[in-house]
Amino acid sequence: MGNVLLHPEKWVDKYSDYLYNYTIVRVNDHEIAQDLISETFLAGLNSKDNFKGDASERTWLISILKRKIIDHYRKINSNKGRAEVRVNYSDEDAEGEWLEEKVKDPFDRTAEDRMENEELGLAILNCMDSLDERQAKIFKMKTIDDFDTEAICNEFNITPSNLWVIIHRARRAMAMCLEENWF
Amino acid sequence: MNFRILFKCGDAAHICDKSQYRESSRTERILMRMHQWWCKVCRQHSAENTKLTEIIQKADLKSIPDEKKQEMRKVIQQEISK
Repeated sequence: MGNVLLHPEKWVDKYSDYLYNYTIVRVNDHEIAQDLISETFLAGLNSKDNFKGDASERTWLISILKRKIIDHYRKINSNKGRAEVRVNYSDEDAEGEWLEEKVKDPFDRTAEDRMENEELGLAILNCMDSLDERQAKIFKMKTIDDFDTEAICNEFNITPSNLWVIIHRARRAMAMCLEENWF
Repeated sequence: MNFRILFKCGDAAHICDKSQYRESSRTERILMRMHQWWCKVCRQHSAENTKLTEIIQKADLKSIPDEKKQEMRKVIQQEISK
């Protein structure tokens, strides 16, 4: 038995955005991504007795989420499979220009870029985990969610000067962390 | 006009941070650049700070809307108390 314990009451605050960024690039639909995360949390709660405590909570939740994503695609494919039209390239007619469809476009970097951006996004969220909770929340609201300085100051009951000190420290810590783990 | 930006690294760094969020004024940015002409440390810090902004933008991170998070918390809480 490992020594990691589950704290489901903190899952939404700690992991929902990480899981969301992991999911959105795979399902490409905000609603579906959010539903899959809700399902993941519920499945996690239902199988919490199986958690051995060897992996981190997040790793364990990701493994559940992966299965949810696979199930989601299975469901889609079983629905549309019957209507799918397949091109048979072994036909004798398939000559000349038709064969171009089979050649991978060497200049199409979309998939590669998306994958790199996803890894980068998860690295950024990993680094945000190393900030203290309040600092991470303020940094996220300001940098990712694009909240006004005034709105954040009101929510946390701090002055703009306090906010900028927190942002400065968070940015320094983030830059150092990403320097170590990304660049 | 805050001419301290010209001489104090702390003030220049503060403007550099505000600039990342487009919250600095034009004058503040000019004074910060003037500071950076002669201050190598601030020049380097500014480059790193800008790089951080660029990679965060590139990652295009998304957040779950607060209402949805609230909904998730509620469901989890209900399940826990069952």
